[in-house]
Amino acid sequence: MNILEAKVLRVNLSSKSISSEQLDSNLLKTYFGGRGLASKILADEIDPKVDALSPENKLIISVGLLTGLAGPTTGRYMAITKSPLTGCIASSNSGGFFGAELRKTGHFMIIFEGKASEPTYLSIDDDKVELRDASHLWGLNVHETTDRLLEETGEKKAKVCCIGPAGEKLSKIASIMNDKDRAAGRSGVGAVMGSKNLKAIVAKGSLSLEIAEKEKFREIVREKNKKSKEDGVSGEGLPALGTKVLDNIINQAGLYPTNNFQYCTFDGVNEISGEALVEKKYLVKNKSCFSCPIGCGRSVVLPTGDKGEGPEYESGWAFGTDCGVRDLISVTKANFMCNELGLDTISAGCTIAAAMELYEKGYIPEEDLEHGPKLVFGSSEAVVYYTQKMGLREGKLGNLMAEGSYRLAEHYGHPEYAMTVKKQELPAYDPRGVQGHGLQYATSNRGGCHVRGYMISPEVLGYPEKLETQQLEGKAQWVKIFQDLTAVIDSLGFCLFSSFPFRADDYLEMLNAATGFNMTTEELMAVGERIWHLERIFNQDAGIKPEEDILPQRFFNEPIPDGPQKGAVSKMRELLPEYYKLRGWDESGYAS
Amino acid sequence: MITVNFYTTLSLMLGVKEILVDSAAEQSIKELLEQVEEIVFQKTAKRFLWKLVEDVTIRRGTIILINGRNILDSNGLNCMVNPGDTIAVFPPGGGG
Repeated sequence: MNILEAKVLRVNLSSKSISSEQLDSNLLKTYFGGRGLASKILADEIDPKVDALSPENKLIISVGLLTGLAGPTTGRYMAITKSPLTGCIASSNSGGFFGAELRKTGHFMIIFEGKASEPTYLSIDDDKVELRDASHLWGLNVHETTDRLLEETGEKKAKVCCIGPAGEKLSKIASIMNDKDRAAGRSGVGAVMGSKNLKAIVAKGSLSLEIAEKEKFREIVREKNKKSKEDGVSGEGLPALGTKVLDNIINQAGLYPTNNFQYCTFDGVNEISGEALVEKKYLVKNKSCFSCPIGCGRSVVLPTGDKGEGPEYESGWAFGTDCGVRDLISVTKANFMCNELGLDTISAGCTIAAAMELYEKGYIPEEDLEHGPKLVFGSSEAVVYYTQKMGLREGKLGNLMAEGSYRLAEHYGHPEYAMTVKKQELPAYDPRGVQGHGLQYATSNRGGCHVRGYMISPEVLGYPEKLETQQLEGKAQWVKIFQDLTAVIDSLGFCLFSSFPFRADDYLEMLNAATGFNMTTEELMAVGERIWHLERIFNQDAGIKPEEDILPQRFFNEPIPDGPQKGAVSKMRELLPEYYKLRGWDESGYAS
Repeated sequence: MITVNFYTTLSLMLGVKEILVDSAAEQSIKELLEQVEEIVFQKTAKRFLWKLVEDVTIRRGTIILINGRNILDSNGLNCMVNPGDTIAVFPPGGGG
């Protein structure tokens, strides 16, 4: 099967009909695949004002244009839908092996419409596609669901993508999980899947993928794999310590959000850092995704006997530093629980952190704890207890937390203590200390997010070059470039970590050899810009206003109180006019 | 006294997290690190500077902080270090 055969499965869960369509292959050149093409289709096919948890919303599972090839990190897929958390477009990315397996069934994309009348799963075995009853799986955790499906389909080599109880219970921070521990984590995509009574997708594929220039592609990939191995981040830092290589880097830089972003350094870092995971011998080995030369995944066994994948930097930070917790076992347990329940670790940890600040300030009454542990910073008991409660929507607080930190804080009359942008929880870098990254947070099309344009790379890590953190000049342009290139990477199916060793030209070489498109770098980046613009229009049509390109007031009114960035506040508002101009939007930030 | 802290893969490789250097005079960070390398070599028989610096250039991704400030934001390897300063040394790291 040629990789330019864009075969799409359309599954109407209401009528139980399944059909196969061929997309216009010109769309592949203008939107590639994955995030770009699926966002285009979503924007064309749904009313952006639709209720995200209604049958009128659609959920698109889409692989990247090069997913499934033996390129460096070409195993990614995306879940694209309207988010119940933010009201914006949701485009959540995941690795593992499911995406590549889906591609090998001959399907590029699955569009789920409507709502099944009872719990259902989709089975795909090359061109044999069926909807099957999932009533016996409803309520099961992610690992058990996966094991049961592999057993009952008799296909041990199949790959499973599913939701856990959190998605079934429509938690606005529920994730879609695949290969047990990989997550399409953000923006509540798991709740959309749950709202459709869709429990899982099982894929088994046997097709081989044909490309334009096989030998040339192979040669280029050999060179790129070497480049990846020789790079300091992808070749050494990430394999050895995973993303938790960042704990001490970010803490020493004074950007490590502590106690719900009240502080920026954490004196407990050595207990929960990436180094600690190795020194305490919890790390057993690293893990790789499909066709990945990096291997940043963490396979971990705790002294308690609990085992699983993780924690990542973000997850470890959210349950650790952001909650003031310095117990690596509890932090890791909470991460494992999220993988089982199908919850976004960033949003879950940050929601507990917000609850801790609300409680310590006296805004959550004692009786609302319903005899649960006190929500005080540093409580390892609280992070484990409330993660379980929110994943199952148990109890008053569990139910509120399942809605995410903004709605929790709003319920108690103080939304200003939710560290969110467009109601999605901010990740593990304080924006007051990195001005470009702060602009990125505020303008990300899916709400609070670091990966949409990882400005930490130039502002802190020195990739591709070092920019001064407080400098404003040039930052708006850098943010746009990072955002556009990330959209390209997400649409081609590479992992974002490939952008440490690779530049735009590296991706272009692989794209042209695989597809024969013969594109230029300018045309490549124009695709990224086009995708960004389309997402912005979707959000506008959904009712999201440019005034929401803003950070919580804390970042303007409260200077960083500690560490080397002491005294810093966010100046992202000063960068907005230039950013809007670069994007071609009007002065108010409206795109047309 | 100047405190030099090693982190991430460097601390794991060397088995050393902190070196204290008794220094009364101002010196460049390059001179300090060369001095520290000799101290570390005596302890561990391992050298680390080649991982961070190539000729007179800091390798891409190397992070050297003086009191929390990245040397690349000012004079690079010519930044001056004084008694009482804390140096943090990281080989390349990244993530998401």
